[in-house]
Amino acid sequence: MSTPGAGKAPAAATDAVVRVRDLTITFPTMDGEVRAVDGISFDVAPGGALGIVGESGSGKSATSLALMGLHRGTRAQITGEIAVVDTDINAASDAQVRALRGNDIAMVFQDPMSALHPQYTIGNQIVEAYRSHHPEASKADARKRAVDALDRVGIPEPARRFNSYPHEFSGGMRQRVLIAMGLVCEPRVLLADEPTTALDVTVQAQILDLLDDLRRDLGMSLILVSHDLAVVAGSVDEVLVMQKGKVVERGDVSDVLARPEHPYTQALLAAVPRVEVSRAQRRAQVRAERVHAPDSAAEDARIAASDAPAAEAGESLSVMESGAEIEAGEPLLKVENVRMRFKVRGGMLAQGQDFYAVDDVSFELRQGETLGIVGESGSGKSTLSRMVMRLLQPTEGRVTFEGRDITRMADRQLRPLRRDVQMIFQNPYSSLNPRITIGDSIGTALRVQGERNRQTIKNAVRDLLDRVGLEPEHYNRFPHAFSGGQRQRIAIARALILRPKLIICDEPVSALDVSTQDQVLRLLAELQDDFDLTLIFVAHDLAVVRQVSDRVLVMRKGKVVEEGEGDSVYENPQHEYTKQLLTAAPVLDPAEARSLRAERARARGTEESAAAS
Amino acid sequence: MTAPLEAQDSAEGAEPEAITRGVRNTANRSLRQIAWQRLKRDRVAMAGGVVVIVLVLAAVLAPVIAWLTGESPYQYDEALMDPLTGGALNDPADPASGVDPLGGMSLKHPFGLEPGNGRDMFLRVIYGAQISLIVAFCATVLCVVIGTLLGIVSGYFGGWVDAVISRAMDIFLAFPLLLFAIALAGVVPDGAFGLNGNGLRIGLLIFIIGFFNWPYIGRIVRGQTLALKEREFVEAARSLGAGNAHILFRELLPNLVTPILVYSTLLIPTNIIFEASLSFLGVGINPPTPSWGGMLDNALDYYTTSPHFVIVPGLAIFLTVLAFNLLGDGLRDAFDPRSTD
Repeated sequence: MSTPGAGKAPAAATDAVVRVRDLTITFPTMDGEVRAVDGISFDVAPGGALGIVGESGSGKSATSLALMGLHRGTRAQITGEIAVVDTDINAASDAQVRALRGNDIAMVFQDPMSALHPQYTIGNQIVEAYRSHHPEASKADARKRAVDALDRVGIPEPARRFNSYPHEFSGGMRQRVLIAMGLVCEPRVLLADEPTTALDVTVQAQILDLLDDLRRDLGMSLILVSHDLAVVAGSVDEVLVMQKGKVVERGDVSDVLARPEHPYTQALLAAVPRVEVSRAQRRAQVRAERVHAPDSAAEDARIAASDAPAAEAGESLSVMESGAEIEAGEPLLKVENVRMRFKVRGGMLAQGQDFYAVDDVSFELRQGETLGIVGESGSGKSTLSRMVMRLLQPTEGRVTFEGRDITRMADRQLRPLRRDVQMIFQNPYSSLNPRITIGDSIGTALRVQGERNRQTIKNAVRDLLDRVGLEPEHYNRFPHAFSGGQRQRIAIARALILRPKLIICDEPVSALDVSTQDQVLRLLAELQDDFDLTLIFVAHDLAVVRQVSDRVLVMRKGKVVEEGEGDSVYENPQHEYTKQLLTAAPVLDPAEARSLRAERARARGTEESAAAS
Repeated sequence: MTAPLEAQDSAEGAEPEAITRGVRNTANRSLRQIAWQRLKRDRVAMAGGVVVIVLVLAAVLAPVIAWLTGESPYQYDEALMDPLTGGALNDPADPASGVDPLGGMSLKHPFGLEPGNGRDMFLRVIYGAQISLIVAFCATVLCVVIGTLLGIVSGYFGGWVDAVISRAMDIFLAFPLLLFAIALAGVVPDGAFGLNGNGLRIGLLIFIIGFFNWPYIGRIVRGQTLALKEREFVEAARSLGAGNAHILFRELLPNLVTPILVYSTLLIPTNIIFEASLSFLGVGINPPTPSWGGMLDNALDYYTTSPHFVIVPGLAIFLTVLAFNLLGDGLRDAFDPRSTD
């Protein structure tokens, strides 16, 4: 492994602003001790930037909380040495740690929606952060500093926005406010724990650019914690890869990304969806890997034969196969000029205004195809998928499935449609009923569709559990016993049990870690082959959408801004917004990340000069 | 399973394993089992639980206890009492021996004797527990059934259904319940609805307490339903073709069991007090059947000479209510997913 940032850190370890030696954090639980962090050591040089990467449960957040001394008062047991700006966190008094927090080391949290107090103006909150460390400062002085900090993080009209409340800001702007709050005392270290995970791609790029700027201009050190290697790639000098509380690889970021040594780092890198890999390449890869599996064909045959609703499923499968070959036939799904209107009462918009979440969208989908729908939050992509699913009734327009107009069907008439169209939801933590065993959750569909034989249902569920890569013996477990990735597998099994023709995947992997994402996407690709599924794949991540979609729809503010074959949209984007999205997507190559950052800066520059003239 | 998938699974295994190594047992336990583990370590709640269990056993086994002690809650023994004040005599053999300040407490009569007629207080308290618990349990069940049903319907359907039910709740809460109960007890005949005597009285108490207190639980259930119905699993159930009945009773209700259970344990002591108050006001059970509230009512005539007559039933009510409340608090903590460890 390479020496940590040998060339870049001018100072010896003694000058490091953050120095961690042999840190171990243990949490006592009902079932014994859990060692979250197991003997890790690292240094951060003044002005240096360190990335800590790992999956959930790797101990990266426990580490960052330890740096802030936030494990104090909990039952966590900490051993080892943590020194932040020459203060020993473990030995310091509470007052010393309080003086340190915010002043020497500031933290930016993951969720900007809940990290600000909703009842105070943002200016108030920044002033308070400053005056808690500088009680002698006058009100006017503190205010001036707060306005400066807001200006520094790119909040337009900072003096006016000083008096705004958090709810008046978007997610990205709130994250800027939190960074401003961190900056106001001019700390020497900024600790950002998953600062962009809750944000859209373009906003993520802006926040990462901002952190990078600040670090260069103010000479701060940056510690960036993330589950996504691509997020840290362009922003740090040195990277630390953690797994199960241990550091498995560390080194200069370009070295680690170009020549990962530890198998875990390699696996992590391989899992990052790359926007430059096309659908065809990816499919070929997945299929090739499957062919190498000796028993896969036999396995599939067994599943097809043993399934309880197999008679029927097999029948529809053969129908589907013959249908797939007739390319010219009627499209499976036809969406014509649908609009969805919501009444907006008061709030920021004027009284009683109409708001179109989806505005005049049309597309067609053929058997066996995958349509990707990309857009940021608020683009109407989820509303659109719920209209196709008929969980929402479109205000205008028409949705036709297999030649039947389903736009205005009543719930009772829709029941047979539910067999054919299914949905996988975004958040596997809320889409599974916590009080129902997973077996019952999956079997519910058969039950509500009229299947009465318990054994039949049970067998069908167990086969599907096996098919999606879970233990059939886990039939009677509750959802809380499963990880996010496993839960999404359960949700997939639930969507599959009726043997639908069309599955709508609403951000199926956005709540998952990168490596888990990859596995779930592979599973979906395999299932699409095996069950001849037609998919609508909704996501905000361009790379993910590219890998699964034949055609892509780019949405913005309820409208389709670009539509076309996947590869053409990615290789030759027409619309300005699509280009913006593409430059914002995080990439793994640090050099490329820097050039994209420069490109974004140029784009912003031209925008600003255009706005000025 | 195909080989590549297996390979991936071992890689994914890293994620849950890191969190659950050593905690694996937690993963396999249901929420109820976890709650039980937590409850077991909550000594205060467990103490409350033990008192509740002892009380229920005593109430159920009251005739057996009476048979074992050879006493009866209805057996007058005026020879033991001071003819002037009604208090228990210091020496039962000597009518002039004066009043015993302890109310005649002895091994034979651990809680003393009832002033005026010399009935055994211990058995009367235990038989009183029967009435208190039957009324409180049944009234609570009635509250829970009505409240849950209307609350879940109101929260799930919203709109005019919600408006009607919510206004009904407001009206029920504004009802002058105590006055109504006293008036009702005055006009109800000795026999009605195929019941008579104390059977009718108990039925009446259950009806009054249960039928007018449901809005409290109704509001809690309605609020929880409002939050739950926004969760994606409700949408998921709809997208599988599930009807409203399925969503209400198969998807939402299992998630409401915990708040309902916790609130019921807290509602029982309220209802015990309410029953005691009604009995105290003479609306409750007819003498000679013992009830805690009725004993307190009678005690008003004797409290200067025989304070135990006030203290014993008062303590019985106090301990019962406290025990149920402690148990309820413990249950709430045990079932709260946010509580640590």
